[in-house]
Amino acid sequence: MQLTFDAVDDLAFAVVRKIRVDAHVTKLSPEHLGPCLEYLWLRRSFPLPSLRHAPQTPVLEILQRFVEAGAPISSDLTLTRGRDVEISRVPETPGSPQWIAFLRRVQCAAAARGHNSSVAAGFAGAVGEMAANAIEHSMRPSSALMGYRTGADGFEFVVADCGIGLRASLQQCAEFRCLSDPAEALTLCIQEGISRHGVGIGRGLGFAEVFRSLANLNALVRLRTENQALAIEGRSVGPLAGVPTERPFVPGFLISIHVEPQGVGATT
Amino acid sequence: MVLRMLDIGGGSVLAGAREGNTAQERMLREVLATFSEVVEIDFAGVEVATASFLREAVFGLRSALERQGVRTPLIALNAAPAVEDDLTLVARTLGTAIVSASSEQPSKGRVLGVLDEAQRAALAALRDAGEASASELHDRVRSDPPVQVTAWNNRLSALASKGVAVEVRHGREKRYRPVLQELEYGR
Repeated sequence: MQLTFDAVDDLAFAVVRKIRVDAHVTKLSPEHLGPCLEYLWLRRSFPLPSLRHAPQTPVLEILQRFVEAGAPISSDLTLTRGRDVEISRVPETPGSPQWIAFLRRVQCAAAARGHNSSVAAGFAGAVGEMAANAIEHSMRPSSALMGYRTGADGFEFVVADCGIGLRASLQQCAEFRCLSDPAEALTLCIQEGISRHGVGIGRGLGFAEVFRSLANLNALVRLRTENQALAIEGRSVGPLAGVPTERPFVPGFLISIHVEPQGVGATT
Repeated sequence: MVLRMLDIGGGSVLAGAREGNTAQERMLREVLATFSEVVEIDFAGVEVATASFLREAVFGLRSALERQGVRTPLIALNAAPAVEDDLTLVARTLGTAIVSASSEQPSKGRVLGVLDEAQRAALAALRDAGEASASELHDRVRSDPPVQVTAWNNRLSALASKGVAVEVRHGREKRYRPVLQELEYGR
């Protein structure tokens, strides 16, 4: 059985209710980047069992080295397992060679899974936008991670940070100073033109880039901030297609995108 | 003057506002170092340039130049359809415009973004005239009600600030011409 987002939610809710879940964790294989990252993020807030006893997968091995290692990790560190999984700290220096090279590898990995050049470039652009957002808006740029995974089940990319979260970020804008509902903050943030810098001033275009990159593709987009999760699934997903639901608290913000596989040479 | 975005941005995928800001700073130094009547930003080889990047790099460059008193028009050259889409999106969001052209047809371009009805009329009149001042267009173009010289001046100035027209000084007189010989509006 895989560690899916549903499984992560179930485990977290169980722990909130003080139900032991250690035995369950050992049976769940953490093969997907998004759910595994979300689980590890939840461990910062809840006494979820370590995944050390779960089946070891390339995804888990890399994430554990990032998240559970005690020593500080260089901001230039990129960890890979072959060409299928890669996680990197988001470089805080704009225009750095690591940043450019990472986006290039995202593009190549997506192309290797059958996506045409422009679609693959779109994914890289979406990762770049979300990663840049994490540096600019999280207020904890050193916590920002970006990653991708390719497999027979498709292409996955994630960006996460342990910063202030979407609501606190939006509250920096006078218009949203009284925003108290994290669900509303989540819904607002993914709309085009909404930003902590203001509304309708040419900012807040990053999430639109993510949705545009998924045009005509079947995908799942999962967003997590505070005690809210928003999952948007289907073909050509957009910001109006989902409703946030309450989940156990996570610090910061996570976005996971899983795109279904394309045939080699398919045009999308 | 031609600025190659592939070199300035460092890759074929250009994303993020801070990356755009870095590109803007690099381009600003080059433009201020050399006088050019027009600056072409060549997007050849760039597969994706996100809206956030373009807002800072391209439109941010225009704003930075204006703050320095420099009103050199910027032309986006050889932009891929995805890049043109994002240029249009940003231009519309900011209420401005930018000209897009191709190296294969350097005298022909398309205005991406927003021109209001008066500005479109001014562009059409300017295209017909080739080069003109506000008072010349006032004399040349009959309309009901008539458009005063001041209004023509405002329209032409707006076209220049949007990079669609070039301001040409002849002594104390301000004259304008389209930034490219053949310009069409919209996509």
